[in-house]
Amino acid sequence: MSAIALAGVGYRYPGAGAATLSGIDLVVDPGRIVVLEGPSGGGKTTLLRILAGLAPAFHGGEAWGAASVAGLDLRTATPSAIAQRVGFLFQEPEAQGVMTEVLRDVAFGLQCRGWEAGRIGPAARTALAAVGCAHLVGRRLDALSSGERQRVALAAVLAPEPDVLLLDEPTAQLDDDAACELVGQLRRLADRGLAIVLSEHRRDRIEHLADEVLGVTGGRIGAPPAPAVYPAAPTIRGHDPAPALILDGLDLARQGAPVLDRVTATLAAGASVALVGPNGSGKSTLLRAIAGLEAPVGGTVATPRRDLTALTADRRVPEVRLVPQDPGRTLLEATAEAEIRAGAALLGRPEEPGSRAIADLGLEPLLGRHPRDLAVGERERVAIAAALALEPAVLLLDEPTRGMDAAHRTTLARIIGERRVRGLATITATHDRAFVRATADALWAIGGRRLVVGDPIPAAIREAAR
Amino acid sequence: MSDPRGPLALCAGLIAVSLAAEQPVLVAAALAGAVLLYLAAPVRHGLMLRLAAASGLVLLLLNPFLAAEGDRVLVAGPGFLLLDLEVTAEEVLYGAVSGMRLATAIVATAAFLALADPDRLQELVSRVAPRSALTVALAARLMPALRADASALHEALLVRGAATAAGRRSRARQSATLVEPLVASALDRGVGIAEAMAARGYGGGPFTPLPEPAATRPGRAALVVGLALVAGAAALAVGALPYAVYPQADPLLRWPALVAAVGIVAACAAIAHALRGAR
Repeated sequence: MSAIALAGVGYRYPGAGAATLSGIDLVVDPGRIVVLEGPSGGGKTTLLRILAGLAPAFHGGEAWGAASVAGLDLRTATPSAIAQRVGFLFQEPEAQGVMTEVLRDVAFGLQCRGWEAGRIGPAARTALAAVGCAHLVGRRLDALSSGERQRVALAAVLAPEPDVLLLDEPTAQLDDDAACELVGQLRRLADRGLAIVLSEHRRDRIEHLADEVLGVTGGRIGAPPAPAVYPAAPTIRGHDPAPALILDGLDLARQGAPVLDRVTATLAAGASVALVGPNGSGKSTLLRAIAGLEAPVGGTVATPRRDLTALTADRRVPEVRLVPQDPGRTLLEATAEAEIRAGAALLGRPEEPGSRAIADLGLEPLLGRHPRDLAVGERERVAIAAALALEPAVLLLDEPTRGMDAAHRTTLARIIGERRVRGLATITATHDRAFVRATADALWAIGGRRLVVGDPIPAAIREAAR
Repeated sequence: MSDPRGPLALCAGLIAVSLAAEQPVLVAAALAGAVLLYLAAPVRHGLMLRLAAASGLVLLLLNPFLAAEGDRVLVAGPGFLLLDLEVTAEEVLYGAVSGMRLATAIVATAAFLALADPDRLQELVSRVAPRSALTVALAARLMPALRADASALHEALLVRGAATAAGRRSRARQSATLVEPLVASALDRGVGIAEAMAARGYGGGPFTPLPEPAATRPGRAALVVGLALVAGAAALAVGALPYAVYPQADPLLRWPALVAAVGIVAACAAIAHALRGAR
């Protein structure tokens, strides 16, 4: 019997004119791994929520067609009953925590399945160890980095050993080692008979894993989209070697614990630097300190014009502009267009850069929508457009390709390249190695509380990334 | 105090005493005990104390103009429509007692949420009232989650170049612009937690409680004191230590009530001290 069987399934969100999904036929047998690819907003997440029984149960709307998962008829089974057999990893790990402490959060699913009390603790610890998080036991979820939270969320989904696994962008926040370990673990689980469906934009990470790759575009299943083909990195002629940002002896701490020691680096105008390091190493903390959202314990942040160290975040704008991780939490306006133009209006700057960013990032169809109604990748593009609208000298991007499809990652790489020619310096914290190779000309690597300013990435490697 | 039963009993006992007691000194003692406990919590926010003070003050100020009782006139004045502009000492006293009761309820609730481990609280409720676990999960996380969301939204304002407004009025206006996105995030969070709980299988079968470590000494003391307070509140409710405000207030300090009040404050102070020492 198939683990998943959908026939003619469709779904419409409440109040939506058009169906988000229609005519979905899908069969997944035990032991198979199916990967869903497609543009942001194409329906991948909605399809996974239907398979988990969460839509329409939690979102309202109307579903039709015949659907069974793990032998349960989705038209009659409750989400909780489905969850006894099916594990679901949400796209945003920040929204997934149920308890406040790591071990308890992983144990919660086992408690809900009525496991014997004596088996729960060891099973939860084993699941945490399997995703490299044994050291996080006892920590609070809200004190973890996004990558660490995603690992914990994975442990919580894997611990109960479900029959079917549904994973929504499971590697989006993971560093390369963790993503590699996860891929190996998923293969082993499939070999033991689990059926796995996952959506993923990073084909480079899962292409060896999938038994089948399906495209989900416009709410229908079809051929997978073309992989990202990055444009050639720009040649910066007459490259201005003048620094755009100078970090000198920066010491950073989080909740009193040291995170980075003596960070010293210079970012040249027009440079594009990739900030890399394992989950929880301090990449976001460094970007936040440069933007003025974290006060350094010691050291200075400066531009050639002035010392920024004592300035509040708002007074560093527009010289320095941060696009934070999880921009969905920081969207303030009622429409995407208002969100993009708010900063320029506030600072009395011209509207033209905002219009250009909207056009470059293909945001015209989304301008009238509420930012909270957008998919994760779409929100990311809105937040990036809002930053570009201010024409900053230094742009700080924290995991900008999260939830972003191949076509828009390519577009973002092109936009960064074009603006670098005009002097924009960027620091991009990311685990997306292909994006790094396509956009960065130097690496800043974090490890052991130190920032190591790496050699320039050879042009040949960047060319190979294309 | 990770075991929620101690803070639950203690804070419920303080609220029960403040509601059942007629003696102003006992109501004041319950409020003082609640404040002492809240100040001993590892994470607290001045907003709760300000909210309690403001709410209590409103009742104190309103009562003399809404009630028309009491013999000892402090300010003589005519009646005006529904307002009674004559202020008596008894009206002020009754307003003060009402205000302290409301403040006790707010501070004791905040102290409970700050002292109890939300995970163990949620688990406790999952066992005894499974359908209420989501409500408890949301309530226990309400203040920290709202703080985190408000902080993220404020940062969003800063990175787009909006300075933190100077002056109280401007800050209040600026904060008002964050209310809508803050409410939207809170609603999103509610749906998100409900969805996440369902996706883990909550409500789909029997729930296994985890073995918990034994209660700490402050936790046991809080449980004992809390139960004693609940018993005391029951005695007060059936007429122990009577006190009349109207038409003329009885003397404020009487030995039995004073001793009980000192006992409440001393017990809460000792538990608060032990809590600080345990950290």
